[in-house]
Amino acid sequence: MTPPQIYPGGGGPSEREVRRRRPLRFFAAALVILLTFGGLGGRLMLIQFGATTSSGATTAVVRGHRIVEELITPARGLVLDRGGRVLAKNIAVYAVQIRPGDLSLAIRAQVVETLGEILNIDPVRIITLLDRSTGSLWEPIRIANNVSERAARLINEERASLPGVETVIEARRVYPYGTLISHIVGYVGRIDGVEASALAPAGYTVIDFIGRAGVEASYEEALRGTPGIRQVEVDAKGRLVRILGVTKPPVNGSSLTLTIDIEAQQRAATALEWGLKVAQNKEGVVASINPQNGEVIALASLPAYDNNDFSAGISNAKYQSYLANKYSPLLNHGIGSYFPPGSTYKLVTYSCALENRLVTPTTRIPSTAFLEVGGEKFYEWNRRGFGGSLTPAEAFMWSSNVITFRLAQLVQINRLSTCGRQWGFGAPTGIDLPGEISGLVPDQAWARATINRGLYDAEVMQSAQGQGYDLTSPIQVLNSFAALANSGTLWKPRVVLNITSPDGTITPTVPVANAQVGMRESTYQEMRRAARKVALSPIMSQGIWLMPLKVFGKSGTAQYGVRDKLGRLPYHNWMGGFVAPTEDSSKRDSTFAYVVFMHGSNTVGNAAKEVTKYYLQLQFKLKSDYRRPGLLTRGNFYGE
Amino acid sequence: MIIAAPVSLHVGTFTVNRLDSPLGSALRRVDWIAAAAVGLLALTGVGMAWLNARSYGQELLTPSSLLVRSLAWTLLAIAVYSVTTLVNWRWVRTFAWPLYAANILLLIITLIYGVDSGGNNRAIAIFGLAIQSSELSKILTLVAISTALTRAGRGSGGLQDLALAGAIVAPPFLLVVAQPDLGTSLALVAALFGALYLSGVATRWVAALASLVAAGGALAWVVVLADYQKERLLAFIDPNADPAGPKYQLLRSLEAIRGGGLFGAGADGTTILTPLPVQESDFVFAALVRAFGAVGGLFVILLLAILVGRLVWHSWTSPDEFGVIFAGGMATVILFQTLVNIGMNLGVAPITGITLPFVSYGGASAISLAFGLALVQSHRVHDGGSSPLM
Repeated sequence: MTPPQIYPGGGGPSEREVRRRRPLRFFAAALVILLTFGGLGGRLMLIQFGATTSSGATTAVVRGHRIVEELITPARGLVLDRGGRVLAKNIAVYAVQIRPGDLSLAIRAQVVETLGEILNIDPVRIITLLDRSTGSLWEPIRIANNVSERAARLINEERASLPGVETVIEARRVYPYGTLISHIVGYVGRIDGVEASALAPAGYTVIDFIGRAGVEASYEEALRGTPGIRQVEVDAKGRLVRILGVTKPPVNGSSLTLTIDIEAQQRAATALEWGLKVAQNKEGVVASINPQNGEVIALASLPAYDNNDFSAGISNAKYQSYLANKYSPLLNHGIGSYFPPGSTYKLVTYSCALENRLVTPTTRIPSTAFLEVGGEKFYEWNRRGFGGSLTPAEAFMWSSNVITFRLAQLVQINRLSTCGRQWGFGAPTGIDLPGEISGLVPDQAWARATINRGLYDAEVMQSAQGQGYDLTSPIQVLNSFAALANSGTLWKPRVVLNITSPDGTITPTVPVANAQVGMRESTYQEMRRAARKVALSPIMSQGIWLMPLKVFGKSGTAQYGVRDKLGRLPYHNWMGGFVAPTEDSSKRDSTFAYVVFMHGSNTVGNAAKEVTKYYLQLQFKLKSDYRRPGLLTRGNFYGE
Repeated sequence: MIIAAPVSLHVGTFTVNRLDSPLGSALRRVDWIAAAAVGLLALTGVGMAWLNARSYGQELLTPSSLLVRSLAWTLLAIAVYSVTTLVNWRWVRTFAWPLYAANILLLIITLIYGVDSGGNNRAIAIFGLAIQSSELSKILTLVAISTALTRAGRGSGGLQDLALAGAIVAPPFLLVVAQPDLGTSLALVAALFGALYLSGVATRWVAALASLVAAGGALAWVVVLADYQKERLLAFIDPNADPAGPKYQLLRSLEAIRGGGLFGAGADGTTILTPLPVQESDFVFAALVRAFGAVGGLFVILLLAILVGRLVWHSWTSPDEFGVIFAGGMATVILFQTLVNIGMNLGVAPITGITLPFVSYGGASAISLAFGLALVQSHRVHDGGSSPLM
């Protein structure tokens, strides 16, 4: 066929041109077009109405189904003690939920009845849960958590007769050591609706858990990990049909290793429990720390709670019982409660006097039965005095109130409060647990702001002896003695030794020094010497002098509260200090500082000293028993 | 600019003698079937832009919505189409080489100052609009090839033509590949082959060029392509491909197509469904099928088939060599783009950034294609032949 040609000038196509135009090629081109478009059209119809797609492995998505993205909850990191024992772990538990849209009202009663039997739940409760929910019909409603495997299996078997009922597997936290270390480890709880919206950007959903106390809370980010994302095919009602693949793999949480060895914790708890039992008390703290780096060795606070109660979903009754207990088992008294420090605060007063050169180690200060200030008589605790005059160290050993008052007059309140803050009081230690409080170091500015007047002389003297407005937590007292042991470094106490990421990388926590006390080395040495004298005194040490340990310390009795019928005030007992390798007070190499606090002990002897002896016995594996239980009988010993 | 001369057209058994007004004769010579096909495709494009804008929840009447921008580009494309049709194509041929130089310059500027505009095309941002120079380069390169292969005084040797054409295509090809825009660079090669094939170059030379290109492709595969690019290209056939990777788009596309049924979910039905990835350009076909069903999809395929068919017909019936080559090249370009884009949506072609002519949202693509197609129209209108300029 000859293609039409246009030759305005006449003539026709040259031979070359005719030869070049090859009909075959155009025919081939037409064929290609036909095949291409026909093929595309055919393929379209095939996909539309056929059953398979390009690659065999992925079968077509059925009409009405959709592909959505879901979050994959990462596995929560473990908490281990220093010796590698597991303190917090995850187990798989079953939960039961109902999709109301799948459960028609006609058979609902029957289904709920059956379900109630299997789960041992009152069917009325189930109905209430169903009726109360305001979400969409296809949103599953949680009916029961921590369902036994047997029950879950039964439900699955009965699936045909239980439309709308589903079992899901989820992780639950378990704490093998429970009350022994519950304050440190803490617990996790579900996120409530209000928090969920605030936390959603971080990837939390309404069914997630979040740490609420202890290291579970303070290290939440490390323990949680990063959620992953997966694609799933869901049907028109939102039910999972199959899992297509993981878009982003979850990153499991990192595990924590504590500085605390559970056996050390047990020793502290045993000593404390014994002391509380014999003295018929309910509340106390035993804590110890390494003055060289701030690692917590043990931190026991009683009464305690079982954090397993929370991980299983605590019942209202149990929770109320915890709240009703006036000794606050949910509170870690070691860091979250404050009390007057009593004579343990004399560390501040005496070091302040020495540091400001108001006295020297050899100054002799008169020790009288009382001190008269402004017409008032302020009596020594033994109402007699200790005869003659004492050096500061001797006065410290005797815990003389009168000499303390004299020093307070020399030091005066502003210097005293400054020294108090230097030793770390009045501010949190920064321990890596939630709920720490600051305590109080009173001074004139505080007084004017808070009670609208300056402090009276008497109040200043009280502050010097750790009474009055002074308020400290046991960890602050502990840290002050640790700072004494290491010559002035206030470490930030740590309970976590290192963090292990899922791939095995271990990242140690770094010891951080909050501050330096900032006094002279000679002051520290003199105070250490004085603290050793306390422990060596046959009268004052209550038997500690007999122990084959180089104990340094200071005890305290702090009155508080309301006078009884006989006009006596109840009191706490304290003992704080450290154990060093040698007697040499010029050395700063102690690795063990301790504090014992007995709340409202009202015992004949200093209850904290007894508990200290027992604790040190256990900790240092002494063979003999140095305790004197008789001193723990109730009485009212007007203490130091 | 229109020659009013007595003309005789022999088309089959028809002889049409016209001595009308210039405009009238022009209008009569315009290929209205092709023009109608283009118009309907452009309309579909605007319709899809409207759908997509609603699907994305955009405010429809603001200047930044897909609808308004698509409308603007389409109107501009229509203007370009009309003007180019009326202007004598010989003007373009005269300025073929300056245009080619400008093309290269534009590509170089894009490489230096280009910004990613979704997909993997690099575009230059001018006044907030993304201009994709690679789209225009297809047309201008084709013009250059056609001009070169029909220059006066050329030899008859196929090899000479081949080498010349290859040399013309090579620079824009390399510049586009460097963007990196794999799809458009292959479209350039397709244009080259289409032009050569229909212009009558001996088969053996075409085959030789083909094997050279294949070898180059194999080399590039091994040496140049990044892993993610290889993954993208293979995703459609690899059964073990990660469903979250490039396969994700393919799966969503297939899911959308299946969901369309015969007549689709309707324009309103699609607003409640989640948007497809890149549903305004790469996967516009899947979105269209989801909205208008198999019927809608087949309609678009038909329109494109008609367009390509008309172009090949014009190439076949062209009074001169330029028309043969240029129309043939345009047909190949449109065929290639259609094949790759719709094939990508259907899971039979690798995923590239190639747009569906006029239906995909994309200003540069629409205008460039309008220009190219209008040149073919102009070629029909201003009767090709070796008559002197004007």
